[in-house]
Amino acid sequence: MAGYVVNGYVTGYLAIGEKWLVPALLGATGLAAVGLLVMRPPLRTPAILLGGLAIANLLAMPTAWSVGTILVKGNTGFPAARPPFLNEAAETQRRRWSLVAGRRRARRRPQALALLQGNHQSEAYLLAAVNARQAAPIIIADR
Amino acid sequence: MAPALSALAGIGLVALWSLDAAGGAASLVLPANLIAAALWQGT
Repeated sequence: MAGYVVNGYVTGYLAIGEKWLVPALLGATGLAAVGLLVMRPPLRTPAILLGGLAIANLLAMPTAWSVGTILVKGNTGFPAARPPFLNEAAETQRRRWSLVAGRRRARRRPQALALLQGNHQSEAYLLAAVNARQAAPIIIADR
Repeated sequence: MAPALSALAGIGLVALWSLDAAGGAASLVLPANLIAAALWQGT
């Protein structure tokens, strides 16, 4: 089940509404790479332009995802990096899986609490949690 | 971790550029890497 949840979340995470993006990315980068291949011996300025074009193509999507993570209205209980242009189906899929993942984490809470309460001797400790939804009930129970 | 990875990427790019300029079979490495990176992003 855990693998199913992870797969579903990753699928939703990668579901991008724009179908032209991947062909455009592969096409432009591939053309620049082919240009570098056929230009023998390499001429400095055209080679720099082609290499720069290919690298700019490769950096375009990571940049869009970084900017999109800041711009979009996300789920504060399940924050994640994401592109800014999800379509309706992808958006719904992400919401559904974020709820499923949140519920599964909530169910694990008693075990995590039992482990924490049974293995410390009143010393201060730090707890790392993947998100606020997982951390909140533990903070409340530990007060 | 980002600064270290960026430094490694820069080192790799310079090395690939040198291989491309050297000619021969080694010059295939830079275009092949660019295409492989695009394929990895697209899948």
